[in-house]
Amino acid sequence: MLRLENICKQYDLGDTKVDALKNISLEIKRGDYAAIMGPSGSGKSTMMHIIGILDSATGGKYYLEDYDITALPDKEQARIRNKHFGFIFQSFNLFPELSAMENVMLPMTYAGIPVKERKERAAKLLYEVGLEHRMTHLPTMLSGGEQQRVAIARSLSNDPDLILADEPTGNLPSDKGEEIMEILESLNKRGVTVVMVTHNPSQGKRAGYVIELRDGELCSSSTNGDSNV
Amino acid sequence: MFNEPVKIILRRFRDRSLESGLLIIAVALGIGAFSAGLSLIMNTIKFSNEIMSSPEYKELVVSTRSNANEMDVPVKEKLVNETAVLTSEDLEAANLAPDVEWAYVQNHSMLMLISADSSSNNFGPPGGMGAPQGGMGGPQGGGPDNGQAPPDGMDNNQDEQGGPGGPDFHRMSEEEIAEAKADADIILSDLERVSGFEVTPQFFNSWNIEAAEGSLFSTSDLRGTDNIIVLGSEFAKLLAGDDMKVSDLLGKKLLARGGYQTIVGILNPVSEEYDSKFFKPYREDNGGMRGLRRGFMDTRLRFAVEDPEQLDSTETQLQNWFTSQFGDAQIVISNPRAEAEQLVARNTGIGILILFLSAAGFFIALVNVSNILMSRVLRMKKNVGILMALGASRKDIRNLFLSESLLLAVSGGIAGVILAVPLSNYMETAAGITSGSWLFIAAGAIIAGVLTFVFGLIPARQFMKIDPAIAMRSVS
Repeated sequence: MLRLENICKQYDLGDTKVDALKNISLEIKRGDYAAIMGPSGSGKSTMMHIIGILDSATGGKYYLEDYDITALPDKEQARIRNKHFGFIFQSFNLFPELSAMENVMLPMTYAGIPVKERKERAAKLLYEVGLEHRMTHLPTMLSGGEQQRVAIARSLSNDPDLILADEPTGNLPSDKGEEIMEILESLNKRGVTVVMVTHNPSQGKRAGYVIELRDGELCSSSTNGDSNV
Repeated sequence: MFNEPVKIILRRFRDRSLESGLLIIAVALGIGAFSAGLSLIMNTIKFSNEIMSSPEYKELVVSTRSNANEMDVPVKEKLVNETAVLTSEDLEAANLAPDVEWAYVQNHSMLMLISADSSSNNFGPPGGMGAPQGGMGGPQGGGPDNGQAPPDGMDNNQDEQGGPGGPDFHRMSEEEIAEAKADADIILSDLERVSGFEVTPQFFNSWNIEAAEGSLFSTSDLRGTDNIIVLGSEFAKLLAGDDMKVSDLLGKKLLARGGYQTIVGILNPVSEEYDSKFFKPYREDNGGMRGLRRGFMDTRLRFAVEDPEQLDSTETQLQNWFTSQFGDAQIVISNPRAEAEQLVARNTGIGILILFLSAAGFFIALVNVSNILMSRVLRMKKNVGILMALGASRKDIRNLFLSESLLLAVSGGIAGVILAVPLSNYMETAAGITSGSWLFIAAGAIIAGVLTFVFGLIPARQFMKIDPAIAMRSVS
């Protein structure tokens, strides 16, 4: 589904240059459940941003469905993020001004979906994550677990090919975190590709594909425990 | 009605009501002051152009020095010292001033009308109703004219039948009034008095006034004795009332204390000043009282040119002629245009100053508004990152935050216009502008609203420059 070839990311901090990613090459297939792991500062978030086209590589090539999307115009990047990717964040990042349903409807606005259809789809997604009774609630009226479930519903609103989850359980108690993990796993079983950044080794073990980064380098990638590097 | 991104902006605007309210007030004050200032200067220019194009400001006014200093000279002293007397014969000065297009006399006058209901004060024509042409003579009380009608309402030139010391009219009885009322050719007005002018025929040429009904009077009427008048359009409508057509007034006689006034013409609408007035032929006094009468009557000669640029040279030519006729220091030639130009320059200067101050205030308000909006960029940085992750392009982000500027510009603009209308009216009234146009306020508000929107572009463009990766780092 996506392929990175010798991806580099260098930050120019005046006199010094910092290599955040060094020659990363990997491939994530459609339907994969991948976990990106590594200590703080290893480049996990940078890699996640490059995969999500929120940041651009300073070297290498990025292929999405065999199309080179390394340097796309802003509008096209936005379209891909909107139609093909779904983002889930550690701190949920719902808009406090919008209700649960409106938060889920938000990405559909950028997809040009009519308001009636937006409402129907948002209601269905919230039902799927068990929040049919919380649709009109503002995020401040929801628990952390509920907010993250709204965020998951939002990430699914445009029926994406790839879910990018950045430590989705980092702000949740373990029982609620488990609920979120189960939802992600069920999504993966339905064919959605999931790429998750996590510090939690037990969550990494549940992923089918683990990518380990250290100091910006790919130190290992393994499938079901088999190390490839 | 609104999509979700716009709802975010609107609800943030609502949730920060104090900050939003202060922003709107700042914009409203700025737009209000700017549009009122712009309206003032534009209306000043418009009004100035209108009045300067009036025939009144293309002419020179010649009067005796005592008339020119009317307010300062006691009547008694004036009578003693007066030597120069202007008459319509002096209009021949125009022959030596080639640029003079029209030369005429225009004196204020007043008619005291006799109404059917006020018999206690009805002094009718001499000889009762059988002598309708017997006009009354003599000013009642005399005194300086001040450019106005004689004090007791007698017109200036009705002294054929009497002099200043011997008014020749009698109190009309109720029977006489009833008789007049029954006569279809006699008009009794409900008005007690009406003001008008004594003019020579070129007055109508100079002001380009034509008769809508009947005719204007001619030079030969200046030498006649018939009391004829021409009515301004509004005065004619007032006399005709609902029962009569205006044209039916022609030939009828208006009953006045000075005698019957035969209506010979009705004018086309000209201006507010003239439409409610009457016009009589200016007649020279040939009765031996001329010197005394003309001494305290306001006979002013007016010499109109086609191009205001010709006023200065014409003034010199006229000054030479009148000096040769009356000597030095007897005659004053005034140039209303020069005085009006001074007034216009002063008002324009004040208008420009007010516009400058209001524009400066508006600019300061805009800078502050822009700064406050800019500070929102930092606070909204996280939201920008989220929106971009959800599929917003940089253009979407810019447009979204421009909608906030638009909201500010529109709400501030509406409130600004509400402030500007009374402010502008007050300033224009104070400046003596009577024909101000509200379009300038609207134009000012639109310009100011657009400027507000443009200043809102600055923070919106900052939103566009936010790097989503950096924004995302702050939200991950």
